[in-house]
Amino acid sequence: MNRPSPQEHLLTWYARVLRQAQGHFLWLIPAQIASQLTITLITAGLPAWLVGQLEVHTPGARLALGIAGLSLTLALATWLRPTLRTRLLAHQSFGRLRLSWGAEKEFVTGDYQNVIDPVYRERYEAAAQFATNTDNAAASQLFTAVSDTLSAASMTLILSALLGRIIWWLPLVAILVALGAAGLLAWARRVRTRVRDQNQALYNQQWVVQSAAFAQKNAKDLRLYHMAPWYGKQLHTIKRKRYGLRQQIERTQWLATTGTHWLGAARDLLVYGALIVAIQHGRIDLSTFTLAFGLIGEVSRNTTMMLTSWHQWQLHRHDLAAFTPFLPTAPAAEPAPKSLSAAPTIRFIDVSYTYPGSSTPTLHHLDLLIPGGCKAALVGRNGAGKTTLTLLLMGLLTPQHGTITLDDQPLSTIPTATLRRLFAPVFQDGLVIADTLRQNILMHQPEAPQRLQHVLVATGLQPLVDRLPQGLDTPLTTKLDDAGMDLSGGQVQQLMLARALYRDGAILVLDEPTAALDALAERRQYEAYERESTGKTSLFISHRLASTKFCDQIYYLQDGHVTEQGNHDALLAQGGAYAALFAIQRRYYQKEVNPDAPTV
Amino acid sequence: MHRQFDYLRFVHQLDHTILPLAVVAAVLTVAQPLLIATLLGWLLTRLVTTGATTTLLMWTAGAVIVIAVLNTAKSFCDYRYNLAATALNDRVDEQVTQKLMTVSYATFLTQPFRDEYSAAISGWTYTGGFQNYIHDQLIAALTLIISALAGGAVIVRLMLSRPVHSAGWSVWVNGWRFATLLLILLGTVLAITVASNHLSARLGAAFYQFNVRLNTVLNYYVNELLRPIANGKHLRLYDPDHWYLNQDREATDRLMTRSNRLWIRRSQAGMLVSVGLVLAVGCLYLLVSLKALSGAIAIGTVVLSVGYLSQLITAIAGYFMLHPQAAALYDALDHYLQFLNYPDPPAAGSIPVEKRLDRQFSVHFDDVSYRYPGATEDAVSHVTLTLEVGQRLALVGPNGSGKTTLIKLLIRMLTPTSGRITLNGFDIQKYDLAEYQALFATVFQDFQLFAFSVAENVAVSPNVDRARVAQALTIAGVAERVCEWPKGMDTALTRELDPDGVTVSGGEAQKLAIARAWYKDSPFIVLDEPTAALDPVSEYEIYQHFDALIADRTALYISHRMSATRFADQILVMSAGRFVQRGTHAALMAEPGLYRDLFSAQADLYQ
Repeated sequence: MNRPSPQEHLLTWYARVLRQAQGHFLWLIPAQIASQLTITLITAGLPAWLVGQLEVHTPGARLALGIAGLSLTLALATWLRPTLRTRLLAHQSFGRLRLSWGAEKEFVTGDYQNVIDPVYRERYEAAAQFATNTDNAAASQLFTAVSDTLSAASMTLILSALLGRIIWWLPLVAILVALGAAGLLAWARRVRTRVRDQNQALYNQQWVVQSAAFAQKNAKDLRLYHMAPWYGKQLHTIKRKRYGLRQQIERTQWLATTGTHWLGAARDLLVYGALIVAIQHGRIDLSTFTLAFGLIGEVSRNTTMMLTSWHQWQLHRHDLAAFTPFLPTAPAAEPAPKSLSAAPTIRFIDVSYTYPGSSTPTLHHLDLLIPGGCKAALVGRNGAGKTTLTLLLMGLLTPQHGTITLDDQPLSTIPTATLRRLFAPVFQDGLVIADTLRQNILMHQPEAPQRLQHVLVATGLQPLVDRLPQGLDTPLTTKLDDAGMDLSGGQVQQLMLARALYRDGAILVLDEPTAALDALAERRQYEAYERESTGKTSLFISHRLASTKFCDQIYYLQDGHVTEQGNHDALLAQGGAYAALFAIQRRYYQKEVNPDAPTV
Repeated sequence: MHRQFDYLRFVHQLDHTILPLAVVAAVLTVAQPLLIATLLGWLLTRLVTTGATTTLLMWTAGAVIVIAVLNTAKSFCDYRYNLAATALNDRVDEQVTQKLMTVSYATFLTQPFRDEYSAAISGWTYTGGFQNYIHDQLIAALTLIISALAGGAVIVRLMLSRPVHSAGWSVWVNGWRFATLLLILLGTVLAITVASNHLSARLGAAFYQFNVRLNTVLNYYVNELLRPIANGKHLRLYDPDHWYLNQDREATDRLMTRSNRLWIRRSQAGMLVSVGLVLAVGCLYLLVSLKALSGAIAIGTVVLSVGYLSQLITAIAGYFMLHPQAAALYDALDHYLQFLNYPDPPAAGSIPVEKRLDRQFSVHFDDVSYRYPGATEDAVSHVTLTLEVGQRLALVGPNGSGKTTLIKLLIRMLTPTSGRITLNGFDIQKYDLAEYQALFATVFQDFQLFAFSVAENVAVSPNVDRARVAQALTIAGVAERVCEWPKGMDTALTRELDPDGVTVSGGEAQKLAIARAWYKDSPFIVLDEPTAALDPVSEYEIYQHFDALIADRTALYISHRMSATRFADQILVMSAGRFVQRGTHAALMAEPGLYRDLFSAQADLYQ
């Protein structure tokens, strides 16, 4: 389910997607049309035929046979039509989920920049809402609309031909009225479409509020701060607005429908009048009269339906087309495989990066050299760009200006698969996956028992594993398994370090890895880190300046570039920003402390 | 049967207009096809007997206009009904959300409560809830009754008609034999409907189960794992082969294939009813036509009778076809009502808390223990503690020693499994929950900011004291940053509800949470790791403002940053659920023990 190629028509592309998903399906459309035609003709024709037979006093047996035959055929068609319809819907539903998955794939494997860009995400949500989110969306309904349009069109043609043979202008009146009705319905539809986006935005807001009420993470704050009435009021306001929009839609719909009823009445007056006059003058017989009576409504109905379905078709086509940019493209060729040293040298050359939608650059002409095998620390105030730097280093973000190299090879020349595996990051936030403890560490890579054992001991997780009845096979989180286990904040951080250590990448990146740990566990982590980073290049970000002491090189980040660098003692001697930061943190650990004394 | 009254009463209490509208809708829905059948039948009869053209035209015109008027009335009724149904839905929704938010914390977390909620919601999604109850069940029942009346009249008329000439077979279409045949026909329709229902119900139940599981799994992969912004970097780095993405696809394919198969089979089973209907109408035509052949009734009457009787058959089948859904529907409605009436014992206390301007509140833990449901050991074990007025207590200890649990017990998010906690001598469980919790301003480690404006997040109320908010922001050290934003303190947090909203960093969020705690002018302030996410300068600023932050309140705070203990009058050291040491910093540093270890582990690095 990749994007359609530029010249490919949307219908052909989606038909291909559906065929690849579950096989041939296009035959369902002519089959549906045929069964619909049978139903309409027999339903209208049976009374007429009957009337004719009764008039000529057909013997009972012949009558019975005729009714039986027509009824059975009608029964078959009645059973077929909805079955075919359901099959078409089910088939499209499958395709819809495939497309949805395609967007997931693009999200997970495509440009990371899109992931963090709120504008991109909003556009995606809006597109998905109308294309793939429900079975009323375009992907599940497109071919149904096509089928309905073709069905109504053929019905209109055939029925008009039949009616025309009775009185030539009957179908014309029917079609004219239908056009008028379609016009009114189009007006109602325009109102609905205009309101659609507004309604959608409100619905999203409503969902935010309602899911906040249900989310476990909000439960404490909601109660402690008595947010219930406040939230309730917000919800009520949103619902009132949506109600107002709904009122607009319903009122227009009512007016339009009423208009169509009266147009229909005018048509009926004309047509019935003409038919009565015709039959009184002996131009048509009773049977034909009955037939015409039954068919006239059908022609109008089908004409209106044809126009409505055609509009639906266009709408679905538009919605589906709006969704295709979020699907993956055919994968580009990867550069030739590279091999890098066991502890690569990291170099940033004049790198600048600005986040999408932001006006100030986060990194501004930044130069940085981390020699291979060096234990580097990156410090700076909140928002200085430390995390951004690591995202650029790992190739998730691309700088607008400048180059990043590993062992003097630019990142863009390294194939993605190799690049990703080079790094063993521990991010500020942890991700515990609803899988076993084992797999949360292994991440579905081949198991090396010795390394796993070593990692469990190094991070201090071994006691936890020993305590658990299922050990490493304990499911984590209760999201997919009610009996799953929820880890505490500290345990999550230990798990994240275990994952990184197991990866055994050439470049270790730790971003604030000990925020949730107590002092003893924190010291244990630092010791583990020091041991494990031997022989690798490592980058350590922390606010706990005491921990950066044992790094070979410390880089101080300010105003988007590196302003100070050196080892701990050198920077203290320099007496710059780093030294000031260290002194502030140190204050309350002094043996004697006077909280009112000025800072260094 | 009395369940029906419960549902009807619930619905009527929420919206007074919807039930009358439903009745009118039912009447009008049935009237239209009956009128058309009458018109045609009458016309055919008149035409055969050669009535005057003008009279025919006038009567026809009259009928057409009446039908149009009826249709107009019906559309209007539908319009009002749809709006009333929307309003009804809204009100039920709001009630549910209120319940979710006001039920006590302990109950909120229990699995049975959350299951009840999930059952109610998925029930609603699959059965349409109260709206469908009215539309499918109630209106279908009314339609049936009206159709039965009309159809019954026709049957009587047919039965009373006598044949003109009796051929051999005409015996069967007249008199009581005719009535019997009609009844057999109606009975067969009923039987087919019921049989098809059983089949549908079985397939429907399997389909429903499947969908619940499908939705849980898909929801996890899509909404919890693959979509959230924060997870993107983890997955890209640690899952380069896209294992989880492929799991998602496999799960979707597998479940979807099975689900589709069930869906198709279920609809096929349902279609049997339509087939039965068609065949029944065919038989009707036969019976009535034969009756006409025998001269008992006119041709026009044939058409009219068939029209009325097919309407009756359709109504019967329509009502009974909804029956299997009725069971699922009632189930969903019951879940809903059960959810709304879910019992909430922890919120049972009702004594109001005395309002003391002098803030002379004192809390005492008396040999309190707590064990989480299903755990083998106590999280908090035999804790005795007094929180004196105006005291500042620091709570330290290794991860998992029970510090956060202690706090949750204090603010009555959990109830002790043994021992008791008292406020000014009274067991805290006896107090009104809301009033008791109003005494505490708490910031947890996993606090949440909500998608509303900064001022609203700090004040957490529709009434915002802007001056106080400004003061709170200053004390928390975030006032400057807020001023930088386009709308200042009216800027929305996150972009979820407002496209001009801002996303705040972890440190900024923590400061806002602290501002929120200060704003709530309560006698106690409880902080769980207030500076964990802050950089040294921000942490220092908080420490500088600690006095202003805590003022004259009683404070209890947890911190892994041992430097924070400097601000405490008393330090409590917890390990494995118990207090192992307590005292001042100087006293605790003088003796060997856990506190000295913890403090030195951090302090030594700064020497």
